[in-house]
Amino acid sequence: MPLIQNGEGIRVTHAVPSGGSVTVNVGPNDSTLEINVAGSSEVQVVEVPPNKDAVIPVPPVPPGTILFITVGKGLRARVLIVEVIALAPQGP
Amino acid sequence: MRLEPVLLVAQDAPPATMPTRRAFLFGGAMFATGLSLGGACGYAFGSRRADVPAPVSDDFEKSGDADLDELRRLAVKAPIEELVKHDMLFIRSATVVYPNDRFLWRGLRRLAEEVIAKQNYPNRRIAAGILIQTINAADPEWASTLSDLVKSLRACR
Repeated sequence: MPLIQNGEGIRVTHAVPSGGSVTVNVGPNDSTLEINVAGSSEVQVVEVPPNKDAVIPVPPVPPGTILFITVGKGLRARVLIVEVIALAPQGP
Repeated sequence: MRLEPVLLVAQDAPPATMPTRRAFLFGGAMFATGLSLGGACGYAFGSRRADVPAPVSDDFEKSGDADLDELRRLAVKAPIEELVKHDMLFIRSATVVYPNDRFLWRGLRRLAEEVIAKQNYPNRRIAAGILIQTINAADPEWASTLSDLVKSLRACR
């Protein structure tokens, strides 16, 4: 799924299932990242572990909600977009 | 000595503007009718105009916050292409860091109008979704400045 890419230097899954988690691989200079529902001012700060792969639980939001993952501060921040999708129905 | 007859032509007296009492009463009635109609129309027009917010200047004073000043420049002065280039960082900053800045809300409106107008806006569906979420989560005072665009944003594919 093509998504907006403003976050050079970080990698992330672009669509995550509701109730799942998203893994963000960040560069060596960032020790935290922030995740929020796009448009909302409530931000969750996540520590980046030494291996630089931050695992972020997806907040309880309806499918179709778009999340911002932000690395860095101010106008030098990089913003990635993640869309929450519905889980595919499981077969019997 | 001979006397010649001389005819002196006197101008006619100007017709009286108010020749009769009936005409005076008729004129007075017309004046009163015009006054009341004009007053009513003027009041209606003026009260409608009062509901429309006064236009806001694009000029802003330096805030002392370089990031905010740059975002304000993007919002109201920069070409729309430059604003679109930084759209996600702009939306994120306008909603998380400076959620009550009227200049940034004008930039959000410019972005929303661009998303609606341009079929080839990059990732148009996602951008429209983000703007709808922004409007839904905003303080009603600011949300009302973009609420007229929600229907068009929902139609973006």
